[in-house]
Amino acid sequence: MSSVLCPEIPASGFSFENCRRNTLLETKGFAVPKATKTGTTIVGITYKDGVILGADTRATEDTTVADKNCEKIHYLAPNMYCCGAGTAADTEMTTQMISSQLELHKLYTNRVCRVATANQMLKQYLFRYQGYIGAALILGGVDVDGPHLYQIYPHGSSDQLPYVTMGSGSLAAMAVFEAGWKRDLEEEDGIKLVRDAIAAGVFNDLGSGSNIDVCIIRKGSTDL
Amino acid sequence: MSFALPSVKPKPEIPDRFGVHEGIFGTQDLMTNGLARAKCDVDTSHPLAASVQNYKAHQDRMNMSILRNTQGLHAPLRIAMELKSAKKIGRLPFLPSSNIMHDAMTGRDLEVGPEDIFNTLEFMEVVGQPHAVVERSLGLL
Repeated sequence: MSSVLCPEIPASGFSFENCRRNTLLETKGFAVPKATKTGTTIVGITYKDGVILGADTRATEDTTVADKNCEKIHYLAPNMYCCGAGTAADTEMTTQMISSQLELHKLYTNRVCRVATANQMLKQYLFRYQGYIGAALILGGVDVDGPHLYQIYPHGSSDQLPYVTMGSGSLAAMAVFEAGWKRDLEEEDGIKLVRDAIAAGVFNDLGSGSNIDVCIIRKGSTDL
Repeated sequence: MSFALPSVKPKPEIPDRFGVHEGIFGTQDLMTNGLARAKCDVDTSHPLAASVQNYKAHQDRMNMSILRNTQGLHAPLRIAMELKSAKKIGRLPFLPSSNIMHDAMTGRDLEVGPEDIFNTLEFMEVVGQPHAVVERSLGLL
């Protein structure tokens, strides 16, 4: 019960206040504005010493390029990085939130965070919102157990695989991986493979383009 | 042996009574509530609204029932007792509490979620009259 004297303070977090108004506007014929999607190619492989992540840098808004050079490889922890496909804002905010949580976790347990922890946190967060948060992620990192690579879908399912691709250019990139990936690749070969996979996505998919970002995560160091 | 485990996804509950903010005379009390609250807000604005609102409470209920089934009745009772005494700590009666002790006990101080980023309390521009807030908390309003 609310009143003018003591108004009800709305709960913090996502606000559903405008949903009813939005459905009413939609019935009247007002089109919903489109969110900036990343229309991406993102890839990840495990190689001999660690993990290599790759991404293109184009962000699209339907058929227009919204950002020619956006960063799709997000920082989670010194030993973990995450590529994001789907709605740009969702991937950005989700990875930032999980990065803060991982930092708190690291301070609480006084240990380097495992990649499985980040995977579980992301999965639970995305499942909680039942796919309304459009963030498809490739999580890669190196911890005490070795290199790990996970792919996490917007509805909250995840897979641990030796090589993964996501985004609109994922099919082109996966074709390159299926032909060229071998267990225990050397670093130069791994970088070349990732570059070729992203290039395949860039040339064959309209939603990917501009530059290629590559992130190499080894046991002691990371190169972005 | 019944385990009484609630479902993993919080399901929306349909309440028994649809309170239309009735006043003493059984009608809409305009003096305290105003005209804006005349409609009752039970209809679903978004499929996720009910789930998000009840998520924390639902998770706690799930954890407590698992605890009850594994360790016995005493475990959730002890935890509930500690949380209840932590809730009693506060600032002046009409001010919102920072819930530090409560957060430390539930583990919320280690979490960062949308409730810590969007629509936080420090940017809320509404404040209630202190007497009315205390009256509401005591159930007199």
